[in-house]
Amino acid sequence: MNRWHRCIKLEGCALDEFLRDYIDRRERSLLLIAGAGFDPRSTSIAQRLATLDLVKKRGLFLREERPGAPAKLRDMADINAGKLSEYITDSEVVEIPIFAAGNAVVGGREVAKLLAQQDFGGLTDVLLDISALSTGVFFPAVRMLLAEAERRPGLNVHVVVDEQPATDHRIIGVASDHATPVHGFKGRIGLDETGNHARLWLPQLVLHRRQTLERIYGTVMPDDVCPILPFPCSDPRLPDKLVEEYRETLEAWRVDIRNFLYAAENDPLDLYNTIVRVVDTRVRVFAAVGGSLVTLSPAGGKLLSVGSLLAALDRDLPVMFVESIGYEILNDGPLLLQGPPKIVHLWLAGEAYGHSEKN
Amino acid sequence: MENPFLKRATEHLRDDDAFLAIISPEPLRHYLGRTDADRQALFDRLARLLGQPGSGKTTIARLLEYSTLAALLRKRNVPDFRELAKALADCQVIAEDRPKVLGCRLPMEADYREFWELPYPPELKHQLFVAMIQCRAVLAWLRQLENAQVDLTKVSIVPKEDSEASVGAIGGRGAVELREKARRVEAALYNIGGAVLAPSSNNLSSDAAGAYHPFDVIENFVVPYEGVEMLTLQPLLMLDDAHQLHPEQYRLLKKWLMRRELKIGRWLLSRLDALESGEMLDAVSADISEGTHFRRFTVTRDVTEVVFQTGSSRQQERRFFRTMARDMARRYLDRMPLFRDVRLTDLGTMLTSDTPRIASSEMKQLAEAVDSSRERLRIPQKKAEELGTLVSDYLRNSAHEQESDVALAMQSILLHRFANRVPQEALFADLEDDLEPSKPLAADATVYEGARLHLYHQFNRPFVYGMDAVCDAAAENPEQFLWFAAELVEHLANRIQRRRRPELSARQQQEILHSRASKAISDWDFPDSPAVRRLVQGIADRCKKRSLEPNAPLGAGACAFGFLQTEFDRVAQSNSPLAQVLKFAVAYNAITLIPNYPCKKRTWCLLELGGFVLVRNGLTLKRGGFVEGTANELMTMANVAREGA
Amino acid sequence: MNESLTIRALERVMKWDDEAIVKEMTWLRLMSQFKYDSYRDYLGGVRFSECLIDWLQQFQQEDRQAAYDYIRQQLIFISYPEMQHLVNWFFPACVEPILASSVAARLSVPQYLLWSRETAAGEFELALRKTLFVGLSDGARMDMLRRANEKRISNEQVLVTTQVNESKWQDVLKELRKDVKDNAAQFSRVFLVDDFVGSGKTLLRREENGTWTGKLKKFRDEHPGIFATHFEANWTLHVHHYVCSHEASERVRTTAAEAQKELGPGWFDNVAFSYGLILPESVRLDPNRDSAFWDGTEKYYDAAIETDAIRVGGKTAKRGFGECGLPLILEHNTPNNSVALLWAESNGEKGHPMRPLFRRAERHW
Repeated sequence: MNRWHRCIKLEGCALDEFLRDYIDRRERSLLLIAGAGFDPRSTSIAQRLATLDLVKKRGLFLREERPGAPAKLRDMADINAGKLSEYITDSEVVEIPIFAAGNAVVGGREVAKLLAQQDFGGLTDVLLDISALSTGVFFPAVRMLLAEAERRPGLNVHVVVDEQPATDHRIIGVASDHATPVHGFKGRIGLDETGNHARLWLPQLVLHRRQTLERIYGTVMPDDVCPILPFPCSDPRLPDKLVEEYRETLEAWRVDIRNFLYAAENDPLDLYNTIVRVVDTRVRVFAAVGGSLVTLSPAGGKLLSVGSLLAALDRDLPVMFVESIGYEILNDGPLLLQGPPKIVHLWLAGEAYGHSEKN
Repeated sequence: MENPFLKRATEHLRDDDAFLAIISPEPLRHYLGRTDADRQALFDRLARLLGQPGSGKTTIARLLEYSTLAALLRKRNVPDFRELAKALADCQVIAEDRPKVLGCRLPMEADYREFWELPYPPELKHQLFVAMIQCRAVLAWLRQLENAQVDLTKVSIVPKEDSEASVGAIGGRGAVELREKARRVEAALYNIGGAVLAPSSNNLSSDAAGAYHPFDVIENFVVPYEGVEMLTLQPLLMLDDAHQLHPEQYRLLKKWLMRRELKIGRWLLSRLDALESGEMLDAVSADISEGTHFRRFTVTRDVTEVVFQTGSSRQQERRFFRTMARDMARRYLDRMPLFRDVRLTDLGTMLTSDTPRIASSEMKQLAEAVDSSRERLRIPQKKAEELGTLVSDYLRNSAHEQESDVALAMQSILLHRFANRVPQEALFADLEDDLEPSKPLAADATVYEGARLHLYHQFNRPFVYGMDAVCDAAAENPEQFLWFAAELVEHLANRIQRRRRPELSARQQQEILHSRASKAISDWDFPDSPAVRRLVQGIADRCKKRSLEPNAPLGAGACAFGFLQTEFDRVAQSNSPLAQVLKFAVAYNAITLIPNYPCKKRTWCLLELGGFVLVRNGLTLKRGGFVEGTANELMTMANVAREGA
Repeated sequence: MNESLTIRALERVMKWDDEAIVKEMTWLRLMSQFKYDSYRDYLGGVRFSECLIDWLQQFQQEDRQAAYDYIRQQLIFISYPEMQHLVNWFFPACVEPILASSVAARLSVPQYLLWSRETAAGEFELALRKTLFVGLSDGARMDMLRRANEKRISNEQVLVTTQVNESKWQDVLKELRKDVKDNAAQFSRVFLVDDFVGSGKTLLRREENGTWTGKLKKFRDEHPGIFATHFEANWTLHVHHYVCSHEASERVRTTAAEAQKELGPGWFDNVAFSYGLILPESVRLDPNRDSAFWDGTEKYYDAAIETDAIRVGGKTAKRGFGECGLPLILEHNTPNNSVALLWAESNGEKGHPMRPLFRRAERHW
């Protein structure tokens, strides 16, 4: 059985109702963990929560530090950090170094340390806003929070994101030059005992990330590759464009045309279900011949990568990625929100699934 | 139609046979030592193999893994593989058609680096780290044997003298026990690194923190071979991409591996990051006139060092690379039925070197320009004719007499030089402290090259074409060569399918190489790549301006940026954004560093542009000429913050 | 494809230089393999590249590049695996949330707390069993739908077509009552499923003389009696299309609302529409932006392709039925809402003899 096969996903009016009727109550106490970064979406959810009067609110804002970040981006982050502190007055901003010497990736380890020191006593809900947090940070953060929820039945864990594909497209991560597992998501990759397992890699294909994926391939060295294409999606020709951009790479990886997987662009649960189905089938098929190891590489939109996250958590899968050493903003001009916030919420653990101190 | 040139990284060829078929024996002969003593020094002490991505070190490491050697030996009588087997025998990796070493390759990935981020004191971190290396090495050696179909129950180790007592701690003498212990240690260490929260240091299991020193115990492996005999093999460990470790971690590792009491062979393969303090300048060339570039092979008491891309322009080095590239291309083309079936496996013959000439209307234009220059510069007709004779003599003697367009361009250059009255080997061409030429003007190879460059930029006369030029553009980097070759081959394949003559004209080659170089640059995707792109473009623009001056002051032209060595030292020691940008530019072949270059009584550090940049901007591939500038100018070009700003 | 033959033919037909040939051949090879060669109508030996060469030759030399560019830059081909994904996605993305919402309302619990209730799972199963899935045409892929949901949906609640006789209807009700152990049980919702809606006219429209017609009307009128006997009082009709044009996504809703107003009890009380993939408005052929090819659709046209069925959509079919101007190909057939040059075949009776690139097989209504 899949842990999140009936995951609660809310947006629009349904989300408004939920915030108004369920969250905004005197007896509730909420911790918002969010990124205080240059991304204009940093503040969308805090701003929304600021309109709730009854629930007790506390904020933990993470500032991802990358070496050599340009002044422009720092300034934007300063402004957003300031706004966040205004929206949630009982809050602190903590710096999370993403890299250590020699460009070693440590952001995930740092955030885990930070969360281990947090006091979750008295809280009813933890909201992790991933709009301005990177993969290397929010993946381990979710793992930590779910572990906390195991220890404290009744604690609700929510993931929220302000989904703005247009903004996503303008922010290009500059890739560092080596592939690593996301902290806490090694699966059992690299162990001698999985050395002979049939290795399947599921990279999400995204425009302009070819070299990054090639780098990950060189580290994973899979036996088979099933690239994930977004479909349905807002640009119906996107799968074709991706295949064209990756043509040489797909040839080098010897990808069989029949091996593509599809996942709806804005439905993380679709991706989650697809991955889990593939994994379960492989485990059965390969059980007799030494075992199977499926590795994920999420890329692209935040919302969709949550699908990979859920699959990785549910089936203990390794997640390989290339951390961004910095960011570039395409097309000069201020990075503003392209429209009203489009908040999507996923309820990962707690009362919605039959765990409640009251029940 | 599969194009094997596109499988750029040979790691992609997982099949041993496919891998072996495309491996050229040339690199082995060239890189792994010329004398027996040299080669021995690769196995009896720590060896460091240094080179940029695509330079071929990982390919060699893969080749030396036991299962690959075994596969090769099984086919040693196949003509394709005989040469390779012989080269390996010369390197002392094979003897009498049997393997001598048990090689394994461990990439130093994040798994290892992360030990340095654990919340423990350095000694404990180092202990856990080397324990991981050792258990993984044992597991890798055994896996190599298994992949070569060796029955592990018949494999055992030969312990070093005086270490019998420690055999128990590593599992036992037999491979099966060794593996069990190694797996337990690996799992324990893996869980420490992989845990989302690291356990406290006094909560570590005995498997993880207990004494485990196989490298101090193992001298040889005894292994059944072909079911007939038992071989004694020296274990060889190759740690790849060692530059990914923390500098302190790497330093301690190097120290630990340098110990002469170790009997295993151990190689550290890493990228050449020129700004790592002191490291780079350890290997210094004695040939001062060319500046410091790396010696290929250096042996000291504790360490043997092999450098893959020396940055040298010596003919010998170029010739070697051209041989290797041709051999590689032949092997790759042999795997494409379209070429193999019609016996077209020599790429060089399909890239014509026929000298293309500019159109007659352009010739007329050029001739008129030369005439008007002569008038404008007030050079007497007689003198101009003398210069013309110098040019035609040169062209005749160098078998280029057909190139009447180049003749005109050369004349133009000489006319301008005469007007400047500047001796041609001075590099500061605009200093007019000498009105009388100290040497008479000459028409030589550098003027010839300069003329060709001028014609390329003025009239689009092809400049880079022919197999040798493609090799030079690849700058000793096999991967870069394959990148260029892939597209050339694609076009050739297309022509064969259309029943056209299987060759590419100079113009077609020029266009293909240009677009391929541009694509490579726009594909750069490494840290600071946008800044690197800006930097190399800034340098290229300066070089182009200088090279296109009518008197071609640098002959063939500029292809590098030089600033004072003292300035470079300052940048290298700081942690400025420029230092970062240069580091990555060097690491990824965008530029080559040539420090301590003497010129006109000063010492320069040259940033030589990489092959892709040179081809894309139409600059000479012949080394030597540079434009001078300052570190501040570099910062402006790269658009990085100034120091102290 | 035979590459050598293709290269030589393209060279002759398009007059491309070396550079262009290499580039386009690469694309052609890739897309043929990835998608186009799998078009249901193609046979071995005559697949995409062969049809493309044939298709291009109907244009005069100066018009060929524009035609090729249209295919190269704008064609939308929904392949079998993509369609399969839309079918597989339908249940979790569309059916489940609707059922969950309805069950939550019944249990008077907010939808987000539905699964915390012990009885929720059982109620959900019941609501699911009382749902009927009916295919509006072959394109609905009811077989695929069944296979994708074999653990969730029973064969007895799936009808491959609306053209079902009385006795089958009786069976379906009988099986429902047996499964839920309730002799008075009735269906609470129906999902009518189809692959594609382009203009909405085939689905539902008012004719000039005021009569309503279309697939939905037919469903209503086929067995009017069953709605009272087989369905609960407040039952809902859901209409789902896997693929839909931007135009249809808006028009269908308003048309249905009009039908409701006019027909009252002769219509459905509750109708809702849903879609898998909605094509963006920009895919439609635009006379300004795509002027070169637009001109081609004007010039290379044979009015003989205008059958009665096509004329329902409007006066001309140059840009396909209803002037939808879509560049859409579905793996199993090409909708006639797509630009006529893509699918039409004629002998030039009333104009230019049109050659198809993706020939269309006429479907039964």
